[in-house]
Amino acid sequence: MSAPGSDDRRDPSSPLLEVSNLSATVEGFEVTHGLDLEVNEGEAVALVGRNGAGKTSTFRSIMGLTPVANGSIRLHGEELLDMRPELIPKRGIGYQPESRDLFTGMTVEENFRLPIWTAGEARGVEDEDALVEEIFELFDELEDRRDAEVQNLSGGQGKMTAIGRALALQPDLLILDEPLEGLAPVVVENVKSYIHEIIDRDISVLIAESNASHVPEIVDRMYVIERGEIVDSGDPEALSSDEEIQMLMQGGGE
Amino acid sequence: MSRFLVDRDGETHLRLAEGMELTKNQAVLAAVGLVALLIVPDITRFTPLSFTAIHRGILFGLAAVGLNLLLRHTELVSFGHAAFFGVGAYAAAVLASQFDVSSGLLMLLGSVLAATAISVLIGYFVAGYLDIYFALLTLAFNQVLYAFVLQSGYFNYSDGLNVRPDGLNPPALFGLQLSSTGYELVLYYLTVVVLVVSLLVMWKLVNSPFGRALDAIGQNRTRARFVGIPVEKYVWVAFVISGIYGGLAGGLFALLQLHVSPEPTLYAFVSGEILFMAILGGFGTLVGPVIGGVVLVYLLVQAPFYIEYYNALTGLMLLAVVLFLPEGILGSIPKIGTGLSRRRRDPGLLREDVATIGSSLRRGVSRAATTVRIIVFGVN
Repeated sequence: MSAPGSDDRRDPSSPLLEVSNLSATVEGFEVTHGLDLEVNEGEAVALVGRNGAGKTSTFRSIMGLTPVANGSIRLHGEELLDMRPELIPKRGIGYQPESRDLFTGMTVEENFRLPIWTAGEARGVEDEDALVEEIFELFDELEDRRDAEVQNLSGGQGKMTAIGRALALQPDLLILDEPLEGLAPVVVENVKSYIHEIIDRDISVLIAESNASHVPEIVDRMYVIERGEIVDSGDPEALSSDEEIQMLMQGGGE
Repeated sequence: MSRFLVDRDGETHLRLAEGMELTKNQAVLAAVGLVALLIVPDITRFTPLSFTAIHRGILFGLAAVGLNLLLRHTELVSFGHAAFFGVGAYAAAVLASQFDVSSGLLMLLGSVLAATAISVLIGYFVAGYLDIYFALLTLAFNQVLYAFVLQSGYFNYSDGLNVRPDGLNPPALFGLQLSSTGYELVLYYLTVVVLVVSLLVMWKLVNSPFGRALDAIGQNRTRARFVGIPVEKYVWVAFVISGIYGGLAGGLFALLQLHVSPEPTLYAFVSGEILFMAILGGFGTLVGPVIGGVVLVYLLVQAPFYIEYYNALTGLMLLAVVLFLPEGILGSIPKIGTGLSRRRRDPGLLREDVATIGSSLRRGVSRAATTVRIIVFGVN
């Protein structure tokens, strides 16, 4: 699942995703305050913070779904702000929202095909069937649920379908909003191994997590977000064992 | 299994084309429906049933099929589909009366083109709206058109236009100048062909990727956007397709009635009726709106002969459908079918039904009595 050919809008010297000085608003309230964030080509990065810290708002701003008062969001150097939201997936960002947001009444396979039908051409998908099979190969658990309507899936299978649907865009950057949240421990391990496999395929990944303990085994770098601001960033191993950060995660970092 | 039969979870489906499959029951229903359509002229000849009323019902049903594309898939309620029906009808009438076009088929082409143009225009403004805003905007555009035609001398005000190119005879069909009986018969079969083709096209369309994308948009526009669906553009296209169906139906209506005036074609009540037809027949189904069209138009035509307060009929029926048949006539058939076959196997259920009906009646009566008592005597 490699990225399609080069594009003249792109600036090869800039990072894959560059969020700078982002102030997003939800219903008139500013929820992030001058947030900076970067994901480089081939990198796996986590955005870690408590519920309500601004992770989802940041992601939704990147996807063009939340109004932005200030700042800039660049993909391959191209400004995404003020772009119509449906163009952003076509530029190469696959998004798995926290609430999964699957297309009910449709089968798992149809959920995978929908993005290919609408954005496949823009993403340089040549063989639709091959791509769908590739996703089913990755999420082998979904193989025999292929024709099941998605509202009948278990929680874990639903997450996998949502991630698979984002992969159907052949994304340059995959954004996963709490992919492990609310899953049974066994399933968490499963989904983690799938994420590892995706990262091994050289797809850059940006993950939101509220549980810092999962993070070091998945990503190369992490940001800590608190009250809409990045308060720390760096090596996930070191950061997640930092006592102050741990306090923060448990809601005691006042 | 042969080319036309496929196995789906142990059930044999008739497969007509990619994405177009019927279960055994659906195939039987479709065959019965098709035969019924074909023999309508014969049946009405030997029974007191009204041929014209059924014909008109099918036309309105076609418009309702178009409206149902928006209702069922993008989950948008249009209160303005008479705009397209009326524009289609008026396009045919204008061609006949002002431009002396004598070919019925050319008039239909005119209807389709005019409906396309007007739905492109209206669709551009409404595609970004949802729910009540969408409903009100479509209604508003409908009323603007109605008022404009009503005030315009070109369209002969409220009297409307005749669809008789030479001022006397009906238009030619397939190059033939027919007697009035022959004309109605040929026009009927033309309508049947148009209806069947339109249904097949709609069926193919809603099972295509585009149709799935419309379903996605109907569920949640944000969700549709982050998989790259251009929401407004697709809604716009669906709106235009929907409008073309309405325009085609309106053109056929003009050819059938040979006269077009604002009230029965463009008025907002007509929009309401088209919407009700889809709900009555079953808006969760492809063919339901046609059944709804035939049933409603037939009842509206016949009711004045039997009931004094026939104007209340639509309202009462709407109430009854919403309360007792929320999935409409066609949508309820599978449920009624399983209900009946369960009762055939277990007659004890029938006794339970009677008991349920009895107890709910008793409860209803006592509640009504309480209400009356409160109204008459006050709370204490």
